[in-house]
Amino acid sequence: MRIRIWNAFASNNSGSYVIVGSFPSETLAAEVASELLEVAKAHSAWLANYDPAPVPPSPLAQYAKRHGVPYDDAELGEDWPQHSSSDHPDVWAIGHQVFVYSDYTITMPRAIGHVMYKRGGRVDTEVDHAHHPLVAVFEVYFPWRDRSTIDIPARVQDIIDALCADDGALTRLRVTGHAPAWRGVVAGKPAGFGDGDLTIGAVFDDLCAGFMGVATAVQAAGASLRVRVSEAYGEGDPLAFLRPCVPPTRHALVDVVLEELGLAPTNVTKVVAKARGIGYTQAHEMVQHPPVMIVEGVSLARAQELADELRVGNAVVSLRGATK
Amino acid sequence: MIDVPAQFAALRRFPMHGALLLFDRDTGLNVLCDGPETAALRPMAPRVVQFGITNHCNLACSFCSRELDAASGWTADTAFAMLAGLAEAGVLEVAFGGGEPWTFRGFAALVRRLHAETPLAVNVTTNGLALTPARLAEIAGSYGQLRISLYDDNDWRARVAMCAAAGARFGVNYLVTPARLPGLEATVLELAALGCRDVLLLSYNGRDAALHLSAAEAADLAARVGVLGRALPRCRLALDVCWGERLEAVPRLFTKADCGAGAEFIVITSDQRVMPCSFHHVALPARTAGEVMAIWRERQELLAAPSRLPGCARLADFGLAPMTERDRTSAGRGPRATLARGNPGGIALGRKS
Repeated sequence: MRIRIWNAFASNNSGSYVIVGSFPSETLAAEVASELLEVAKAHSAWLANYDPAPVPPSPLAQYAKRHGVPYDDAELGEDWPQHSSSDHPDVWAIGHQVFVYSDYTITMPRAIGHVMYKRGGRVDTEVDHAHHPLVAVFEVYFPWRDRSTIDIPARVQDIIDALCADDGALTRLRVTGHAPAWRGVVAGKPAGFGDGDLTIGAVFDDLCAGFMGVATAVQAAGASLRVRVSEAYGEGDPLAFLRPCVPPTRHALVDVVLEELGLAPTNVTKVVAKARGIGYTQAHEMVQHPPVMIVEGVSLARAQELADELRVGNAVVSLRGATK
Repeated sequence: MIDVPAQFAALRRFPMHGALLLFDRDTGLNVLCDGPETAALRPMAPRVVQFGITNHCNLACSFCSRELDAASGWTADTAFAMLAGLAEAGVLEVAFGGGEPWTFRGFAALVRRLHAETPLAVNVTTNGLALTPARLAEIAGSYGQLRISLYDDNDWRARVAMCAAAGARFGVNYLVTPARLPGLEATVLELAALGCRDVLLLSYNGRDAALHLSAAEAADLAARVGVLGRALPRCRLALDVCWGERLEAVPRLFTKADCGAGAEFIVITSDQRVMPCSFHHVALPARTAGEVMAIWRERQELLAAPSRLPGCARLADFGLAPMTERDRTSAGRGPRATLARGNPGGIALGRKS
């Protein structure tokens, strides 16, 4: 059973926050990420103590003081997540980069950026209070020393196929309505000057899981990556510059669409809730006005399996070629 | 009985469509549980009743939605009997309005009695003019939240400061009109500085074209709300349900396909009628809790109809399509647009984004 908690008298108005720092070495990035994660956990736990009230200095204040960075608990306002779906802000490292993210907060302390500079890094990006989706663009490079000995187009194809498999990050973690996109080198068409061998764009709800999923697939192919993050503007496709996707996946990608709810809507709703990993109420709202997209960009086998589950009580389900 | 985590087991239960809501009237804590075990649940009663305890008011606002010549038919005992019966049927909260609730003789005693003898959360929307520290002390610990309506002539700064000084749990209702839009940030930030920690932005429902926001102004409001959301220190900003999708750029806690009028909440007027919302033309007589519940159960289709007043979220284009920019300009932004008089109304509580 899913449980959601809120206060009765008003709703909150919050956005997401992400800051990206880059460091001279992967070792240092990993070290800073580890420290920041520890502080994020401790500071969230400290703020969660209502009775008795938390006693300063906070873990963040102590950490900031250790690094000679200004931070005063007296300034504590809406600068830390209070109603996020996570217990604490996410912190992780990929290569030379460190990411700090909260899905739901007014803002976060300036001290985080200060620490990044103090530790020898710099802030690549800070997106403060985003209401639109966060768009990630992954620039993938194969190392110069290996380029003459490996088949880069084949490896690019491997990365894309792995990410677009039914258990791949671009399938499992994608946000409905924001299809991922990519542009990679193919045989006879090398990357342009300054371009990566492969550029992947994606929108994830769970930034940490999504980023790490992409990084794992890329690193498994022997490549490294750099991530750029921005907030989408308006309702247009933020990844249009990467479409049509090249190279196409080796396997077909299919969308599953519920065309008519049929005579057993409760059962259909339960299947939708399970397939989407959402609660019953949310699934119920989702299926009220067919046609509605149930899943996007899965393999034909997975699409047929799900369609069979959905076709209870004469529900009408169609399979459509996925947008790429 | 559906099992819930032990820390929530003592909370009052309210079945919803496919979900179970747990509610603590003392803290305002809501816990929404959903899953296969709650799939068969359906509501047994409206969650909130907005109650017009009297039609008397110590202000006379031009934009007031209530029928000015409606009777004030409640006594403290009949109102208590009605609300106790509705609480027994499953209602979680009552939101008093009117008229001005504090012009009802014995209102503080009624609030205390409802808290002592029923499980209802008791909320009050007021213009605050009759509020005093003594009255706040009388109802301390017996109410959920006070909502103070902000007008140009109810000395709202003093009202807000008094509530803050008394440690009252309160919020402010602020009707957003084209004339008020440019000063929104200044007003809300001043409220926060005075100690207000909860601001509900209301939309106008009615036939005065000068008080409706155009599509461009609604987009402007959404942008301003976004900025305020970042700027406000420890202050909640909420939108009433009548805004519907006009402010879709503003994130909501939950997406809702309907405002909930007539289903999630109903209005009981001072002359003992049931309405889907304060702005509705449907008004069915009901003198007892049993009659109210029969209407709620059996007249769902009628209660789900849109209001005829422009501004209703159930109307196509919110009923504003004929109101072009020229219409609105020609309607003028004279004295009526300045909101020179205030109505406490019963319209705000139970309406949240």
